[in-house]
Amino acid sequence: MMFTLISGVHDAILGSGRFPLFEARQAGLILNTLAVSTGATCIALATGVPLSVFMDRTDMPGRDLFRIIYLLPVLVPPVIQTVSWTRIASSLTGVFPIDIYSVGGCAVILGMCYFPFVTLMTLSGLRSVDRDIEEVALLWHGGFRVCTRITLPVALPHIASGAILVFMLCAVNFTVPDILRVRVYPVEIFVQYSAFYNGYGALLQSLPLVSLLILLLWGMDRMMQGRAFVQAGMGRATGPVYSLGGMRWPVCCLCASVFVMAVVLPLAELVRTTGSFHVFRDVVVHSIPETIYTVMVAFCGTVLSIATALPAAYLADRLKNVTAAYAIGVLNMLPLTIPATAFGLSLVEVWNQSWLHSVVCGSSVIVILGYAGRFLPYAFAAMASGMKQISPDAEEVASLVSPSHARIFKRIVLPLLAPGMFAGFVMVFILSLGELGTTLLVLPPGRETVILKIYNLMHYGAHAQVAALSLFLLLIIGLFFVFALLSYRYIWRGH
Amino acid sequence: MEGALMGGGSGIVAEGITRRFGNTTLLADISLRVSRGEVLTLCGPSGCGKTTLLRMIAGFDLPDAGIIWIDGVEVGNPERALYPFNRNVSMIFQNLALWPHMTVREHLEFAVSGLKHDGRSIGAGPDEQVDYWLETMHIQGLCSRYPHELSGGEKQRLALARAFICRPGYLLMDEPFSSLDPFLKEKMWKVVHRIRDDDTGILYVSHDVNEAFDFSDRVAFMIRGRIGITGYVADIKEKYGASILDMVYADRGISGLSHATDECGGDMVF
Repeated sequence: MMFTLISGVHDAILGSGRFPLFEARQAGLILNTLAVSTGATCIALATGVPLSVFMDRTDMPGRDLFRIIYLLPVLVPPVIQTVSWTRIASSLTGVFPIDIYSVGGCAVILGMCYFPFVTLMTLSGLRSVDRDIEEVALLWHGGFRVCTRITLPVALPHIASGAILVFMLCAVNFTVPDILRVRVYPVEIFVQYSAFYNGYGALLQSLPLVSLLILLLWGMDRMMQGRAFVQAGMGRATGPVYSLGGMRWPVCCLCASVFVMAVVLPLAELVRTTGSFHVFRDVVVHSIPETIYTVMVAFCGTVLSIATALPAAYLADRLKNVTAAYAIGVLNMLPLTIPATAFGLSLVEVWNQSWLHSVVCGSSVIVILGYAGRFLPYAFAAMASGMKQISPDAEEVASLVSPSHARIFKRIVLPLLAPGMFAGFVMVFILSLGELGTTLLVLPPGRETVILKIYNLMHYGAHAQVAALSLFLLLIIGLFFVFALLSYRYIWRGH
Repeated sequence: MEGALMGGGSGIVAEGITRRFGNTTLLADISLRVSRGEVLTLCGPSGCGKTTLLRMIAGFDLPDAGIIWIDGVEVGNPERALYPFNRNVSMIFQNLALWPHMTVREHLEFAVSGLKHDGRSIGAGPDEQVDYWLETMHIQGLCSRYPHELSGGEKQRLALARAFICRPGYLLMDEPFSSLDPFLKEKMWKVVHRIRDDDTGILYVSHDVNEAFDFSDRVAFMIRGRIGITGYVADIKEKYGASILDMVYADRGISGLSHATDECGGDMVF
């Protein structure tokens, strides 16, 4: 990607004689991209942080249930979230003056899609706060003051990192702004490529955004200072629990309303738009090849992603050469900074120039590479967090009885890292099932994934079919998630 | 055991305290009294329930049976607990529990801003009190430093200053000096004795019998969740001599208790 960008600068200037970075509409693109990402991040923070505090540090009713369902909005791909909300907005046009086809609409939908990442990181931060430092403060102050002055400031690196992560995810998102017709960088890249066939120019345009996101990635790394993104044992609260008094039920309703907005309403709208079971059945029957293909490429991409992240996470944690370890970490997180469309475009450009182009381009291999590359940071982050919780002592003591490093890795590291690997696998697989920005550019002729079929049908105005297919995809994702959750509990019960 | 105690009058009085974790009884019918102006050391092997008892007196945990009074006020029973900040106690944790995002001065300012204790202040405003304790603990030159920039001894002094600044009636200490060298430990104990002489009751937790004998007025030995022996240091030394070590530590029978605590601890709502 970086190689393509650099060579693109040369070709674009010499070839076309113009440098798209200095064109006037760059300002509009930057403003829109920043406005959408900042707005969505604010919404994610305003939703995710209180939710995690209520779940983890208060006596809110149903907090055990919330701890299970808080990740549900992530299971709804942004395309489906947008499809639902455009339908809801259109049916509310006469009642409320809502313009969903705007920067604000885009920010709200992205905020709803990604706030669980802030919740997850905040929970991780809260779990990392030593219980004693909160309890000692309780000797002088009440729960609210201790929470605002001690707990949240100590968890701030995790919260801020969650915010940066959401900002980056929104800045590289193609589908939501595209459907809502908001001109942001990922959309502009796609337009440049598909309408003008100006691949290098499109990549060049993403440079300011990529630079900004790399800076943010660096900031996130500085803030976390080697802390794990996710803590082990996330099931149970570890800190003091504060009483909400008479506010227990109102707070519970407020938290429930977030899930109604992010999951229940969109689902209900999809069911309403589908209309009848016959429509659903017909769509499912006619989408079997796409479904099989989607699951196949998502599975292969996920396996490749995990296989790449495993040695990387191990080396990033255990290498004695700090610079090399840091470089491995940065390289694995870098795909977060690349817009989905730019990622697909770079893959096409790079592999087209390779001697392997006949094998990779025009086949499913490039799709698998796309998924593996795009979601590598999630697999890496999950496993790197797992590695941080494995003491080097465990390996050192094993080396006293076994001379084979491979055997120690297999018998000591892998079993301890397995929960992190499993979590990474589930996350990457689910994200791959809903990926569109890269798929759109790399998919070989004659092939279609479920999410791409939804996107295409949407442009034909086939609302019932779009809704039915969206429900079908959500069903697949939901079943996989439940299966994964039950498997996790069965395999690691009692751990 | 101190026999039947009455909750009235001054002092911390715990009567019939029982705490269970699952099927394991960690504390069984414990009764003790800590008076103002004395150091009582609670001594026993690891995992015998010393810290759990301290946390219940501080208000971080509820007993399954029994009552805790502080200065005649019932502060804890199985149904309800008075908030920790209303109990007129302060506590020093084993790991000191310093706030990593606050400077030395901010630690004391935050503690003094929640002042609700019995008002035995030095008769000055919050800033003057902060200055007084910074100077008393010889950490006035470290005001703008964060905990990770302090040495072990400086951290101990900051934790002591933070605990004392509210001039609590009672101070609970959970082995805060266990990692100090003997010289520094003695210096810290001198400070603790000064606080005791200012009419503060101190309940100190330790597994080190020699430390208990050297620095306490009274000692209570905990064995298997019960208080086995209580008395003045001189009396215990005279009556049991060196055999006390065998009596307390040879009959442990407590394996797995600390594990049970970690696994089954319930939520205490503040």
